[in-house]
Amino acid sequence: MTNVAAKTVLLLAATILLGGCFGSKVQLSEHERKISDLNERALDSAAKGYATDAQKLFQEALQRAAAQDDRNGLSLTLLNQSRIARHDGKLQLAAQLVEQALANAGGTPQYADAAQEKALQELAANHLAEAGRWAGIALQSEQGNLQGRRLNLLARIALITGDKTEAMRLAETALTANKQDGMELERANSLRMLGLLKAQERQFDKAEELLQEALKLDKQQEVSAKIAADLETLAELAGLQDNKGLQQGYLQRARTVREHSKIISKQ
Amino acid sequence: MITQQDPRFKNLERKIGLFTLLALAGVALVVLLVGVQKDLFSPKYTLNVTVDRGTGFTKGMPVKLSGFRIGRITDMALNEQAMVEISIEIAKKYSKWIRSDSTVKLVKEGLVGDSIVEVAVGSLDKPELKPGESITYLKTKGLDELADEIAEKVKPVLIEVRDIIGYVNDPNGDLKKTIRNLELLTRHLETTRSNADTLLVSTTRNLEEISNRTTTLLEVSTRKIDSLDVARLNTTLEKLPPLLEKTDAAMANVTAISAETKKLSQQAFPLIPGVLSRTEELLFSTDRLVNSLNNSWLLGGGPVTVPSRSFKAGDSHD
Repeated sequence: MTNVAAKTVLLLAATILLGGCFGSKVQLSEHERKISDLNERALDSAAKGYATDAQKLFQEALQRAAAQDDRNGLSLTLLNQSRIARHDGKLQLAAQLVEQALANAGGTPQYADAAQEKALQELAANHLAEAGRWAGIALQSEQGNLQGRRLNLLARIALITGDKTEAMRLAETALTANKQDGMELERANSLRMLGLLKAQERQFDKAEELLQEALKLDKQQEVSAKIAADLETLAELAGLQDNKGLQQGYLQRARTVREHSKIISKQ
Repeated sequence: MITQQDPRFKNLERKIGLFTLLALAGVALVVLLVGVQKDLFSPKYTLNVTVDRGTGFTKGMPVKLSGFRIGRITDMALNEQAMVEISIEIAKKYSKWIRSDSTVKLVKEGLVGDSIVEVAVGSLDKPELKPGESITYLKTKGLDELADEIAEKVKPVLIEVRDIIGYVNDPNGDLKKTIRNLELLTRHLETTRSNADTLLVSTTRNLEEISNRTTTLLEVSTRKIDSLDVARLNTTLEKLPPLLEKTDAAMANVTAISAETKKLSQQAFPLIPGVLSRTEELLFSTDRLVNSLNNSWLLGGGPVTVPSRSFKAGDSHD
């Protein structure tokens, strides 16, 4: 075989091989994958109610991240732990963990997530002013496509504090941002808040339309808690319209969804 | 014998001359028509191209613009810098397309076609090239250069593929070991479960036996009390405390056995979550490994997706 022929054969083989390689993307490093796996397993264990197992897995993830001086890994694990603690109602522990996460995540894209978690904790503790301040920090720190999520949190806080005008403005801005970024769950959150605000303004048809759209989106995303929240808001709307039968129906559906979601999360 | 007086030979030279003239006029007309068709008579101008290697260029090679022939190579010569000076002759009517930023390159017409000189159309805001000016030459990569370049890019991929195959086939490799360990752990888990079952069954049996013995003891005691008459009551009352002591001892034994069972259970049960956790980790790793292999293009999967680092950030209504 001549040199040119050999090169031609090699060229063809190379073309076929390269064709198979196109489209593959860069993988996480072995260390990052391990940290990610440990966090996933911990979250899974926590969801099933195995708190001790979850804590062990989180501790292992923290040890590994610390050994590699991996700030991202540390802040991600601390945030997950903090969120689990908040869900379990251990607000003091959650606050300690989120402070550590904030210290680790300074200057990284994760800082916005840490600030949002801090805001959610302040909200859980009913410190509305602090919650608003941290939600604002989360919005300012956002470097990606989660502007809508941050705005939704601000709108939620405004709604709780009773500033309906500001809540409406923020929710509408969030809705536009979420539509652009394809954040369907957050879009449903914006719609739910807008539906509630319209219901309070006694624009019942518009409220019904917005809430039904939110319910449709949440059903597509298959998130039980959100579906239940939509049904409860629809029940509230029916109550404002003095339709007791419809209100009871919605509440019954919401209860059923919440009960089943508890059973499913344990499986 | 034919004589000059034959009327057919009358004006013979004139006829031959006329025939020759007509033939020559026909030839000239054909040449003229072909020349017009081939742009032989249209005005032309010459441009120069300097290339570092004359390989692939030949005299008479067509020069094309947008795939249309506009001229040819008329001359090639080596200059003082050991570079090749090429003169290309182009029909004047196409000069409006050839500007100062136009370029030429040597290309093949199709995969196995002839080589041609391709001229790129210049920007209309740039000045036209004058006769004798130089046009920029763009060097194109040859097949051998392309092959070398791709070979360089493919080499690491081939090495990686070889490593992956070696990794999968290695009997002492992670994959094979993982599968073996998984089988071993599954067997151990089964044994542990079986031991736990046995322990629970034997505990239940022991408790039943103790219960039966206690019942028997109480029945015997009852029978003895029943068999006593009033006359022997004092004697019986004297014998009753040791009997009660024995009952207490029996009950203490029951308590001790229960405590022992509880201790054994406490020792056995914490091992199970650990074993389950290790199995879960192993299954997780195996699952990921198998998925990676399935997703690798070599084993028929599509492009590999990038796993994201797992922070399931709660949304605004979390």
